Amino acid sequence: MLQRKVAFIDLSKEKVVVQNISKELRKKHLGGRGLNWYYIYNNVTPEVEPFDPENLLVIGAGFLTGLPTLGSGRTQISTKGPMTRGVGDANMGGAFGPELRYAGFDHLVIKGKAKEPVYLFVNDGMVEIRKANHLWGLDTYEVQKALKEELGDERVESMVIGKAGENKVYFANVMNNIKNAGGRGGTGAVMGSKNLKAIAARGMMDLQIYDVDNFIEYALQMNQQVLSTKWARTLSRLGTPLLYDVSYTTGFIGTMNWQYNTPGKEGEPLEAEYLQNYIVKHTACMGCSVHCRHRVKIEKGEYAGLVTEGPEYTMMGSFGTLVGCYDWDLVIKGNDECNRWGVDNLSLGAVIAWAFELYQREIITEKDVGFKLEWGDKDAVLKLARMIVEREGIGDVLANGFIEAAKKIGEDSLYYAIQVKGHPDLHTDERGVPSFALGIATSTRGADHLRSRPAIDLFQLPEDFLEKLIGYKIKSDFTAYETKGILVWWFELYFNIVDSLGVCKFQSTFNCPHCPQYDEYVPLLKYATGMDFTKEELIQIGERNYTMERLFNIMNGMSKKDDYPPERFFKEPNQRGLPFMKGRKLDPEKYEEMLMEYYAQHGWDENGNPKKETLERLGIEEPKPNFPEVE
Amino acid sequence: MAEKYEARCLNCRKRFEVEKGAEIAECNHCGSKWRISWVTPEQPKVQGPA
Amino acid sequence: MKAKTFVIDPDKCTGCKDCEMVCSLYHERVLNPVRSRITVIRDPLNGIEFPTVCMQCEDPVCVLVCPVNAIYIDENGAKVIDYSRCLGCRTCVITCPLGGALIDPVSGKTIKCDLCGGDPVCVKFCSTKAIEWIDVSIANQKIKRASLNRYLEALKRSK
Repeated sequence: MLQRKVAFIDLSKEKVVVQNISKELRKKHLGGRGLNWYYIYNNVTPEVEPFDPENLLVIGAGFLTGLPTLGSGRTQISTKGPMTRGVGDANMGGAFGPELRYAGFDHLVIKGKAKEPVYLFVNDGMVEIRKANHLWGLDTYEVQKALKEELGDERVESMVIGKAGENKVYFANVMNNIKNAGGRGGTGAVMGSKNLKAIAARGMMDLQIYDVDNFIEYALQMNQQVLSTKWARTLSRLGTPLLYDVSYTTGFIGTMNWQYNTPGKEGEPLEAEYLQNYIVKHTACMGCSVHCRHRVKIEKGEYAGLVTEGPEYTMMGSFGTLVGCYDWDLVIKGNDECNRWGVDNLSLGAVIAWAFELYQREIITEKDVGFKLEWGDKDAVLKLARMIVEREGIGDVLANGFIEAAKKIGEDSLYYAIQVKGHPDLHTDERGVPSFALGIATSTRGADHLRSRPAIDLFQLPEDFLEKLIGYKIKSDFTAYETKGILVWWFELYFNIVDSLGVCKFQSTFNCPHCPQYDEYVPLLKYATGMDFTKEELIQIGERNYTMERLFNIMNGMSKKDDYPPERFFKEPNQRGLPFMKGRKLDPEKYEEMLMEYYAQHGWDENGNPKKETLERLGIEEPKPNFPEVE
Repeated sequence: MAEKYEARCLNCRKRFEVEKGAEIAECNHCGSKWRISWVTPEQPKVQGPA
Repeated sequence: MKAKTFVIDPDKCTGCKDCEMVCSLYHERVLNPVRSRITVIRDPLNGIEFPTVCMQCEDPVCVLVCPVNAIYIDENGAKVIDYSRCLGCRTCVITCPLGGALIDPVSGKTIKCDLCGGDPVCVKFCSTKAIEWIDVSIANQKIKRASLNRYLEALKRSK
């Protein structure tokens, strides 16, 4: 596990330098997301714009990626992102990360811009830059098939961009296979800006495991621990759509662009159980025993014959509640289109829903769009989506994300954009759940649920149980503000470790308190890598990594003002949902106290800047460029 | 021996007992009525409001 | 000893490749799926996940064709390669109609499933039971039950 290397690739100079990754760096950052941000923090200076050749695109396998346990098929993709102009970061499932490791590498640090379209071929310890003119313009499925054929090996795994990445749509994805998305953060747009169509990996290099017998036994035990939970059993059958039943019933699902917090009875057709009518088979990422994904087939209707994978819960908002459509056919069809285009369906959905509300409020009109944007109009949703990806008409404006689009449409329109730091939110409605609201607000990549969301907060677990899990007294009541700053802090560090190890959040304590966490990672790391970590050391690595992301955002002009949920969540109360959700909105004073509690827990000052003693304690120094000179 | 099947109530967040195979169930803590789906023959969950 | 057999159900295979990873770890002491005795053809772009492994034939062609009698049958019924004799001539690889014998691309050795001494590690890691190693009598029942289910499903659809 320790032999895997980092390749520094300069696309402008067409040069590659390979280096070892020291044990010392592992001790400080582990791998995956942690090491990715070590490279970016040190090498991307504030004057570098996201689409400048000097920006870095960093690909990282987690320290435990590619093992037969805990869904460790994960890859991290990091860059200075176009939407927030700060941390642009995505974590992708599938099989690319493991293949990258078999090919000899853990990290690829990519700089520069190719003169014409290229792809990288990573194979058994070497990286080759190859021409990709013939691949430019292909959708994400086609290009992967073409690469397998061209390289003559069906085991080739690629991470690619589609039309959205080529067109530098600000929320373009990197994709692997049908539905594994490095979504969020606009990493696909940065890849497109570098004229980099794909990275293909293929390898036959042995991955050394330190203690094979104990590892096999422990890996199996971990899988069994996960599979024994109700959460994993539900996920195995329904996938993430299971979340819909909870959120639409309770009332925390953004509806008609967050004007409402649930569609109520109208949303019944989208209940997870009805997806069963489409499921052909359950599939999994590499190294996953849970299999939360579906292969689906539409048997009848307009899209009859379509066989694809997915959709996830995200799409049930984007092409569902957010636009007032309650039809699995549209969710599945739209999901397939998004995957082919290589676009983040969360961000796309939020931007489309915003446009629909602007249309409702006559801030934009039929003349601006070319057609009507009426809630529930499926064709209008698909048409506008395509225009954004193709950058046609108003689509060209919307493709640049909320902040830039609002400059053209009118600053008032930004009130209706549900975003933080310019980054669109998942379709969850956080105004009734303070810990969720704080999490999207402080997330380093802008509004997002996968940086800290303490989903277990909703279970109202006994407080002594929570104290044992988190190490602090946490209030059981999920509508409370007090102590939730500490809860979010804990999950920020914890999810950083999960991403740095390259294991799956769905097999962590994200949604289930009985899944493996730090205590289990310690022996797993020992058996796999031979390195000793204590739980306390892991927590501190999470803290160090997270603080470096925070510093990167601060260097790029962000501050306390960017740590607030959308204004709408403070002003407009919930109108629907269960009795305890109705009428709820965020309380500005209590939010402020929660934010202060959160800063203090991080060792940051009242403006959200990490204190000097915190940086010293974590051993974080000023950025020092270390991208090797290649001439 | 009769098995016990439980689902989590979305209103009061407590686990309540569900009869095997039931399509509708009422939470014995807060009285909320739910439509039930079965993840496995042994594991019920709330699907939506009844 | 009761006769056992693999029962493989591709409909249950998710393509996670845990089996390949642990097989290479168990036999080669390193993690490297291409060195596994079991192979999952994983091709999500074409909707395929399909496990293939030596079925431990009753009348094994590999044993028959081996020019140096290097393949013997152990107490579990596994057809095992004796590497003190194996030439690496690939005759078994070429003649096996199921693709049960393979070449390790790293060491160059001919490899095949040896049932891990009677308790296959791939089976232990298969969370969906896409591959099982069970008594033949139970296997027969399972296969019949599966065919009945397919029939009932077809009947339901035709109505």
